[in-house]
Amino acid sequence: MRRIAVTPRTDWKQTAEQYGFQFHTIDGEPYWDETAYYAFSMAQIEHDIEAPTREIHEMAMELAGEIVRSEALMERLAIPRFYWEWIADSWQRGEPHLYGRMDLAYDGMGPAKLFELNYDTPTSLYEAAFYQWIWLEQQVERGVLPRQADQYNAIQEKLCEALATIAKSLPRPFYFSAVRDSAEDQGTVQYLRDCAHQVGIDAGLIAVEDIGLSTKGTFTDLDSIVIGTLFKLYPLEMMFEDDYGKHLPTSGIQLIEPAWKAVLSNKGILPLLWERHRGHPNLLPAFFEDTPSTLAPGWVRKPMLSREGANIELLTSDGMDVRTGGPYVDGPRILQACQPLPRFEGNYPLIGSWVIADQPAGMGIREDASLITQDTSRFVPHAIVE
Amino acid sequence: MKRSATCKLVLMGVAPLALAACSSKPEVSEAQYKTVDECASAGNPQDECKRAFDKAQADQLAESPHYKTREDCIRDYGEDMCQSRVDSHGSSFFGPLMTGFLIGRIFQNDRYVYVESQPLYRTRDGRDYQPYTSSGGAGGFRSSYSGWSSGKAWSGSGGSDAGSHAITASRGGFGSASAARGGWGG
Repeated sequence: MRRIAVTPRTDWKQTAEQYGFQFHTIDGEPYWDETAYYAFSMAQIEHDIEAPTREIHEMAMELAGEIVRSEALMERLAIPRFYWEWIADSWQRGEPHLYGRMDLAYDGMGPAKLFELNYDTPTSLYEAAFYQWIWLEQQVERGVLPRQADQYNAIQEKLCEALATIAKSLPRPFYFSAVRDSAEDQGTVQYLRDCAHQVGIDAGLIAVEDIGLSTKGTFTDLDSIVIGTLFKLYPLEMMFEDDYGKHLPTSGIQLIEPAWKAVLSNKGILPLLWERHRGHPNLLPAFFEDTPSTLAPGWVRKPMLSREGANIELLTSDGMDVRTGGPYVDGPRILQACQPLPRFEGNYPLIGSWVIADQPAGMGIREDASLITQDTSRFVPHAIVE
Repeated sequence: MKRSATCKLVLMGVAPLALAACSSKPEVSEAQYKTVDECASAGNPQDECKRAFDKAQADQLAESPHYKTREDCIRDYGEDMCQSRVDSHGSSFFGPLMTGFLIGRIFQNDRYVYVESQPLYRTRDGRDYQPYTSSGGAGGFRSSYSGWSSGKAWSGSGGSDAGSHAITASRGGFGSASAARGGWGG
């Protein structure tokens, strides 16, 4: 694993915009960053990223089945009691899921370490699956990358397959949904809808805020047609808090990701994984923080429900103290052993390893100037060159 | 190769993608028959007709339109056609009997490959309800006709509330938790 500085394509911005990548720059700061790429060997990808991703996913799915059957564990994860039965039913019915992303710390040598699972609303999908692929093809074509260069990225192919497979059983109409004012989220659901369209699935787009509630407690589109399936790029735990949340269990709507993903998008999964697989080379020690205390060196504190690196406190073993702010100030937290991200020319890369319909599918790398990867981090492409 | 063989976009963006060798999907054409004999005498291989019929027969319970009451079912399908059924979750419903089947084929490597089949249910007014389109899309009613056609069904759904008209009482009940936090990230 090396970080290689490279000349960006002169037309990369224009190309991005042609392909609907409107959020390549966020708040004036570059988000897509091709001034460098990470180079991997095939062995690193297959042994150190792909294989552990499969294994961690299997451990997580086994744990999900255990959690939905246990009131004690649902309680431990602070999932509102009102939704327990609905979540358990969605698991028992085998409601299909589409995707997830696990974040891994990896330096090219030691075992990759799991930071967390983003199994409900993982983002950076379009840039990993599509635009990163375009970058590789063009840089090979232009002779910047060697002809045999490859990429660990069958994400779009597997997405299309997975959508085609699950679509037959999904009630119609089928909608993709995200909050109205997020260019990034809107871009992501447009991309997913494009993939669905390519495999012959007609689906609509609706803003989360535009969803209606009918007199019968069903959810409706803007023409007052009852929505059959809703792909929501909006966290389940926020739906639970919203006014319409209480109608979810009886509305008859099918969600993707399904209700049972609520148990895997929760950082309480990290201590539970550690309890069951203590000492696993790809896991970091993790515990529930039952009584808040002073953070000891070598530990990280994370809210059980938080996104994009918000409200994280980190104290390295040599005393470096890093904290991020954010809106997730209430709610229970967990402690995880601090595994500082590797450093490459002053940058800290975090690997987002994708799982599509239970299969490892590819990866994207986000890089930050700090030890905590946040929504301001840059997306840096990768290639397999050896 | 560890990456997608092709990547393309069809709805998003403004430029056609020059790089990807996008192969167009073969189109499924469909025909509908009442019996295996009718299917075979239209020139289809007898064994393909039988296989399609058997599969439709096996799927007909699960894929039939669901009605809460017998009266609702009779209204659409007629007096003698509606039976009480139990779905895979153990819930009871009323559904019509299969009256025919649909067979799909694609032309590939200079020959026809038979790819799918599904049950059809004839309504009182002579239309046939099909559970799915050839692409896996929403099912609906199709006019009855003979001969092959590329399958594009009307919209509409089988019986559950999904896809039906409702009276929207309010909007905006989702999204406030995110707004309160100034957005969210994944």
